[in-house]
Amino acid sequence: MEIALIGNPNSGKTMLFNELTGANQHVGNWPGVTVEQKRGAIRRRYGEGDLIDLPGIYSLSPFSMEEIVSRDYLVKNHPDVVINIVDATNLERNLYLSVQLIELNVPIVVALNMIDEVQAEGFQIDTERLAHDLGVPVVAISAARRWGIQRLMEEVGRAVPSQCHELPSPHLEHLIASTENLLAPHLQHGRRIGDREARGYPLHWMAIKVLEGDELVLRHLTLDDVVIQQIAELKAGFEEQHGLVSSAFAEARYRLIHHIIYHGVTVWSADGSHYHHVRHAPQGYLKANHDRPSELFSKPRPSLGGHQPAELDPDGYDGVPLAASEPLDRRDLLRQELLQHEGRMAEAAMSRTDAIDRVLTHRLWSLPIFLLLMLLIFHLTFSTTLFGIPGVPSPGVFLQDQVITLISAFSELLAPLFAPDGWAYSLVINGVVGGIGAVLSFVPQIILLFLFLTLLEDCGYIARAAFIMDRLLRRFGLSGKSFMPLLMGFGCTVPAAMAARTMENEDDRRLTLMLVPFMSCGARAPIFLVMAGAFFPAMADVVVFSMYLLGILAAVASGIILRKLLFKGEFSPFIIELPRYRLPQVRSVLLTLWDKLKGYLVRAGTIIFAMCVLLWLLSSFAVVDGSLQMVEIGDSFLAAFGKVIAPLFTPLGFGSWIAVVAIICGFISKETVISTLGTLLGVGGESALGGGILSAGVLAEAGFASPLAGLSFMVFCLLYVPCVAAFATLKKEFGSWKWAVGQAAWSVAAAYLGALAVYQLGGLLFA
Amino acid sequence: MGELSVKNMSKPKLEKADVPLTQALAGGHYRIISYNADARTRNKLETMGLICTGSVQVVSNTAAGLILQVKNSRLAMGKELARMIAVRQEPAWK
Repeated sequence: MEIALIGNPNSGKTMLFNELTGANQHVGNWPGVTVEQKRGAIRRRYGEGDLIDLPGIYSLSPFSMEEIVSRDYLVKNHPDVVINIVDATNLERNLYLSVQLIELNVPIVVALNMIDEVQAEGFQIDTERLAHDLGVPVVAISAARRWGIQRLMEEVGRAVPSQCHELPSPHLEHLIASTENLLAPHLQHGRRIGDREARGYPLHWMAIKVLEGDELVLRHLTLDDVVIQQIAELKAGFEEQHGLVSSAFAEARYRLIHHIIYHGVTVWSADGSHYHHVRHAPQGYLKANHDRPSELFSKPRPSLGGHQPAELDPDGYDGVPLAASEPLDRRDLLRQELLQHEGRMAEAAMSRTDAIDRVLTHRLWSLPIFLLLMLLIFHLTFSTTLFGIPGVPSPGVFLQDQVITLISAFSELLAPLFAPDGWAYSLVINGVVGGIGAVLSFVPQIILLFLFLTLLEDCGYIARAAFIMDRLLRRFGLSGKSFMPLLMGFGCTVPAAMAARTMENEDDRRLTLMLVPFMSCGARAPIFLVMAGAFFPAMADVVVFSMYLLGILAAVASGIILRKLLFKGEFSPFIIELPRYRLPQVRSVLLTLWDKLKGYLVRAGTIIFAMCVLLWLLSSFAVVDGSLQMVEIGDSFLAAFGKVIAPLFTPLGFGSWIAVVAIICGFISKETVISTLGTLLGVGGESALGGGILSAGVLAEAGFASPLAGLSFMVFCLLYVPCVAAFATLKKEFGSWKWAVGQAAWSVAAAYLGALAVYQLGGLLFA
Repeated sequence: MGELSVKNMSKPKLEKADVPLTQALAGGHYRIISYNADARTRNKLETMGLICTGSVQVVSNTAAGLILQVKNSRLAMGKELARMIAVRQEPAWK
């Protein structure tokens, strides 16, 4: 049995997914699309089958990538049951997706999540009534407290295809009916959406989709031009009178939801002091052939207060039904009551969030608070002296040291197994353990950075941070949503690129991925420290800091250029939901972290492993006297290659094979740049910082004729491809080699031009 | 239900008192009158609950953008987007 999980962002979808599947999940890409799909086997205690986690979306409109992907999945793979998770504290907006799902006529169960929060605020939701009016089973659950999950899965076992609602807009229903009539003769019996379809979709649904301009449906219907023309005329006729069809659908759906909530569902405070108006629904909202009789809709609830049911105009103001027969002042009064009630509900729900938001989104303090918070996170992850206390490293650095110690111990453990000068020793110890070890040594910091980010995201702060930064980033062709990934880039490009996944606009996401590598990651710092120390001892800190600034400048410039050249897509409006502040759930955070870690480790074990072996081969072997032999790195293929392309770097000031080989090794990881320089210059590059032995005099041997050449080298290292792990991650996030290679080419070009400019212009200025 | 009233309700005419959402005051209740946005943007807004004739409460309006209360959810939007939305002030009931 295949069960799909779908719902709005922030509706607790991931939490429910984690609860239902435990850790038995695997992540994979959908063929042909970059949006990630998580799949997990359902835990035995909850039943059997596979659970598919669809992207968090607000609707099924054919406009956004994630929405199209989810829709395609539902239409093509037709899961056996769809679990629609709904945030009970935000019922009205969440039901918008539900109504669209119900139009699909697939078996749906609505999981009314966060029911505990609703109850804690003194409100109740009549799930039976809601289920009845929606026409699908509704189960109140709390994914955080694991309430109601068992019941939910029982309902999933019984689910039957949903019935379409009649939209409370006569004009629109008329339009749909006319379209149905046009479509009907052209649909042969058994015509399906998609070729491998085992189940057809109803005429009504197809008519709605055709009117909404849904490409997938239009393509599969293969209508002839006459029908398309007729439908276009129908649409034009409607739009002349009533505005955009898509807007009319949105309004009608919200009106329907309003009816369902304000008639069918009774929301009242637990003490009964103020309860929601219970009124006769003017008509049934389910299609007439629905098995549940529509007269049930008019069954009034026992009155808790003094409100009398009234006949209402279903097309009333704001979807709030108003009795057309009521005198105006009475209608105002009714509206006032409703507004008051809504206001009270909103107040109760928002009070805590409001209090926090008054500080965190304050017009003056929001930015300083945000920057301090980020500084703290970076300090805890990357600082070698925690809060300036000498000798006390930050948790991130401490853990990294432990991992490095562990890797060294492992390396020493393996060493006696091989002949010390044999190729096997070299391959295993230098190539594989050394290479993968360098990658693994970043695991603690990546995990910590992700832990902080996950905590901020789960508690609801990230959405605010995006909002705070949006205005600034907009000037550079980015949006607030790209801020977090870019910031994380200062730590490590790998988690930063993964963090871009949350961005909904594909153009924005790709642009962000293009720019993230320019943010100077932690591994590049040693290069700056060594070079600046050697060439600019008096002002090393200024030079290092300016490297970071230059990275930001490169990202900004690239952003502006790429926006003009490549990502010409229309301005993507910034609108983001600010979820309520909630305490993060330990279980959920840990599972998310494990998920990220697993992805990183898999890459370390596959592509990075392969690259390490390849580089080891190239740096250890050469053809000597007509046969392949193991040689010193200075005589290897790599050195030979370095000598060939070294002249390319002469204009940059460091046209020696040693510098070039260091740069090539820098593709594996930026730490290897300094250790390679150390090895090749014979000063023993054991420590990452070269032990301070790499002085200006020593570096001159490597072809760094002047401090300017050193600066140029730093600029090159700052801007070119961060490392294999970053490249592999970018490839995965872009979902294509083309983009990943394009990013690498762009980086290398920027590095070359940047270094060239520094060396040549600098030469002119200081000559 | 009258045909005329439906039309009047769902498609209010722009009046002099209507302002872009950017000029809305924090704490005020507003009703959305019209959009000046392409279909895609419009659809995004409608999906998030900002439908024409729908009501919004402005929680804050600063240089960074606006925070709105819409249907029991809180939305933040940039000024560019807010400029595309014409609103009319509603009397505050509270």
